[in-house]
Amino acid sequence: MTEALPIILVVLAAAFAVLLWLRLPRLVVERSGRIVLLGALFVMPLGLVQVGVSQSLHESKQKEFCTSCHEMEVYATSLQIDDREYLPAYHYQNHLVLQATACYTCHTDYTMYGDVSAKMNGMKHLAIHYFGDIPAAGEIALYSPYPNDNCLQCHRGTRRFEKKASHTTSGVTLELLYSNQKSCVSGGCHDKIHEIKDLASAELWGPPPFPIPESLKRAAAPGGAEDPFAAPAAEDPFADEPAPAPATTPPAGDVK
Amino acid sequence: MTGLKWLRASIVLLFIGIVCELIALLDLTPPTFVAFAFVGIPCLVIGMLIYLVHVWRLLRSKDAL
Repeated sequence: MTEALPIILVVLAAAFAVLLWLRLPRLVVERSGRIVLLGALFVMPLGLVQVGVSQSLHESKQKEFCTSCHEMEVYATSLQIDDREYLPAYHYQNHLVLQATACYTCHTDYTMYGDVSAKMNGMKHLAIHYFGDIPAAGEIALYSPYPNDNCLQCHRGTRRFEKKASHTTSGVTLELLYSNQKSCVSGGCHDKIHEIKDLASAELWGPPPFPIPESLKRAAAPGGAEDPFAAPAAEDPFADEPAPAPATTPPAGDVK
Repeated sequence: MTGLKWLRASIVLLFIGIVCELIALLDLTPPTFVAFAFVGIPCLVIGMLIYLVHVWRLLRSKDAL
């Protein structure tokens, strides 16, 4: 029944439109017909626009909407990483953000036009999805550095946040955090975000919602030569020094 | 165009808009959202405007305004 519902509704709408079309000459001359036209051509569409806009905006905040694009599946899977150091996973699994709207909560700027800008970025993503070069799994980057306001919309002023020792020591002050001069996700702080490169090797809390891409599995495999995420190899501090000469015993006759 | 033709154009636009909205509401994905936002809503709004202009012109022709 649910599969047939859209077709039924479209057929009903089409039947109503055809009826209006055919009865139009009579409707425009009769008083009751004009009332029908007012309802069909103005009042009903006005209500439909209002309902449609509010409902579609609401639905587009859901996690399922974001992950309906294949590129976002790995990010949804990263929310299942079983390690509290991974910030999105920790927030998601412990309901520190609403699970149903987790993407929207953290990735919509907490500003006056945050919603509008998120929707415009969404349009850009869709254009790239269909017409552009899609980055590989885990190589999608933010347009701009992650703003602290997105964290502070919940954490600002909370006792646990302000009393935490690491927020008030070693070069970090609440003022720096509140003014966005020191990023919450900067190195050494909360710097483990989605970390897609770790996905294949990380333990997950429950079954993955989407299969992990083969490219990530190959990269995580021991000895994987094609690891695109591998950190650059540490330089050998002794590389420039000449190799020590092999110890040789001088011939007895050379000793002076 | 005569008045009836304008009204028929309005019916067609509103029908297209309603179909886009139905599809978006029943299965909202990024493509259906964009179709609703960029096709459905403009069709609905233009359809309503055509009807309103038709009524306004009718009322003016009868000196009711």
